[in-house]
Amino acid sequence: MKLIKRQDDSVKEPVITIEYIKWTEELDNISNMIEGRRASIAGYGKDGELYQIRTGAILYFEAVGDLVFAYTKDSVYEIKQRLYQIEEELKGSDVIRASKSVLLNIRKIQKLRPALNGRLYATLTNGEQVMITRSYSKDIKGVIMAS
Amino acid sequence: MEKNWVKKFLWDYMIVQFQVTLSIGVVGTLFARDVAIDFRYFFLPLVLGVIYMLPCLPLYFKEDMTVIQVWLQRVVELILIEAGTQWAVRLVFDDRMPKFVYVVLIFSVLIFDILTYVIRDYLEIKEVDELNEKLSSMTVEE
Repeated sequence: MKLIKRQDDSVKEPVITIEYIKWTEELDNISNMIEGRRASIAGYGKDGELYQIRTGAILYFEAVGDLVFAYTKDSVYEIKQRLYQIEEELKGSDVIRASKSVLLNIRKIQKLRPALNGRLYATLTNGEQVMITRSYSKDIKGVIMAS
Repeated sequence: MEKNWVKKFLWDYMIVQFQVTLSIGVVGTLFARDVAIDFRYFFLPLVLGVIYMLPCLPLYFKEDMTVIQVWLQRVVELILIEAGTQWAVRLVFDDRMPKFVYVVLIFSVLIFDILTYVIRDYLEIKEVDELNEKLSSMTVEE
């Protein structure tokens, strides 16, 4: 990775441009750091221990009844927050609302497939499929194209 | 309730009107080209469109319809459009339309109804293909 610093009197504020061939985890971390996004979220593992889960590693959040879970490639964590609170904290990040009960990390979507009635099925990098309901599919499409 | 449901409702209403107008227009052009009709009947698609949209209302208010529910909604919508179009043609053309045309009309409405879904699905597939291309450069694997 090359770092280039260049002074430019014509700009009104510092501009950071990341040129890439393929977006990687490292670039994800740099981007989150620059934009001041929450780099990690606290959650309880299956062993009952509290962990700091890197938000870039989370595939999706799901609300099941009163409980909220964060799913990574290898594990699932219980998050002691409501889904709307997590959505608010991660606003502007790659985690977007996919349905009433799911927040999806768009960088973990491997492939999309159209389903009946305007819905989408997202196949994630771990092979799981998550449904994006019609209400939210337009927003997700917009975010993906704008990224 | 779906977000922006009013906008979606109006868009779907316009498509249904177009669909009905086209089916009547095609059949009328083929079988009753020289028949003169009252200009008031040009407003029929506007009125019929509202009636045809009634079975569509669940689509806007129920987020997670099952596959069976979606197909039931489509069948009810089609039956309503068929019945309404038959009535509209009888009203507009009265006895001036040969009887066999009413049978042709059933198929005409069915074909255009299926066509709207096929076109919609095709456009969705094209859109999703573009999204998948974009995703291939974005996705981060652990």
